[in-house]
Amino acid sequence: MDLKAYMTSGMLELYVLGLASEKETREVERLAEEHPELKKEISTIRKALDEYAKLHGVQPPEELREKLEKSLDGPPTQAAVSSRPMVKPAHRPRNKKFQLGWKHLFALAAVLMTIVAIGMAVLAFDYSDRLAVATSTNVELKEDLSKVSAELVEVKKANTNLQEKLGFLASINTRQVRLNATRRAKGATVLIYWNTDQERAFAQWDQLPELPEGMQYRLWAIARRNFEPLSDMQSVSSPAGDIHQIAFVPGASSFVITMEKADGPDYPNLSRMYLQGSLN
Amino acid sequence: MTREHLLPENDATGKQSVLDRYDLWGQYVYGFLLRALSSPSLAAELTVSVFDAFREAKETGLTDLLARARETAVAALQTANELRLQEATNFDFRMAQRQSSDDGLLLNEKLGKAQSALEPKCKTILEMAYFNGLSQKEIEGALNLPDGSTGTRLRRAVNDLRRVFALN
Repeated sequence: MDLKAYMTSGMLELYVLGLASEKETREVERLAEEHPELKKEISTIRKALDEYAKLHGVQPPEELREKLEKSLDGPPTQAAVSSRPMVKPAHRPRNKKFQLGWKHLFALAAVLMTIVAIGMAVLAFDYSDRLAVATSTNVELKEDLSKVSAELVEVKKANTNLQEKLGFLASINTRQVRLNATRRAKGATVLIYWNTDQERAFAQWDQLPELPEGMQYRLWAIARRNFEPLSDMQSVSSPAGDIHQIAFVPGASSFVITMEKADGPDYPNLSRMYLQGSLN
Repeated sequence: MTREHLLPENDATGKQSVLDRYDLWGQYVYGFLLRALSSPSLAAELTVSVFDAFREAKETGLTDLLARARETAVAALQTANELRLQEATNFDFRMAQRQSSDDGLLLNEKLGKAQSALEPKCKTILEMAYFNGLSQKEIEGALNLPDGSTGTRLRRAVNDLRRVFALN
């Protein structure tokens, strides 16, 4: 084995950063056992990263030391149940018997009279109301009829829109790209439909992680090494589960979804990348 | 000159021993977590948790402590970071470091010099891998890089750092 080539391949850096696969990790560890110079190289890489990390030092808030002290006073895991005080249920004294007196009878009579009075008032109000309701129902029915006519026009429009989308999806030149979710967007699905002939694109998304207030997802295309915003997504799933038209950028080769502030910059914050995928 | 010699050898278990290590390395762990999470409250919470767990650790050096801090940060980024995202969005690490203390100001200058020695793209890849815990595939996808090119670029970044810290 060409040890020098192996050492300069970048595999050791991937190993130290935990980015090597399980197989690669086993191989690096085996080779490090066999070759001390490899072990030394790994140690130097670690040292370089440690030194870089140290340059990021920031004095912690003063109260943090106290918090740590308190935390160290207790065991690493505390049994919350055992330390919880027992609460006994309240109970009546057993030896006192309940006796019905005049005071109780007066109270009962007052309650019954109040109930009867309320019932009579409700009945009177109900009868006078019924006539008014019957008159207004007629007016409402007329309004409903005109609403239904308007809705029919909307349905016809939606149908035309749907047929157009269906035609786009069925086109032989429309390519479907399923974006790969990063670990922070497990279970999320985003599909891009890209048609370079028609220069049109659509997207459909589902189960993106919940958005904090003031944030939104932004879909970017990478075209000629530039990031171009294609669409903003303010919901975790496409509205009505439908496909939605997005901007088309000629020469796009891959896509990235990041979480950005609503009035975010024109460049993606890649540390908040949720999904990515490629046309190739 | 480092102050590591002041620590009791290979003993991180006692309360005082963990506190000694905190006094010596707390700023590095807190700074790392702050850089990775961009959230002072989460960084503070996890700093306590990293040191608390450290009393049971077998390895007690700074390298192990930073590795533990990194694991904690990556796990937090994958699970709980959205809760603090609002805080994170408006956070400027370099500014926070400058304002933290005189040491912070000095480190900030050194950090700026070290970063200027890195190729911009290699620096981005190093930051994505080291602080954000992104995988090779995620990095390559985000930056539209050829498959398998992360390793060589990381190598270049680490080599630049080795030159900066005279570790060749």
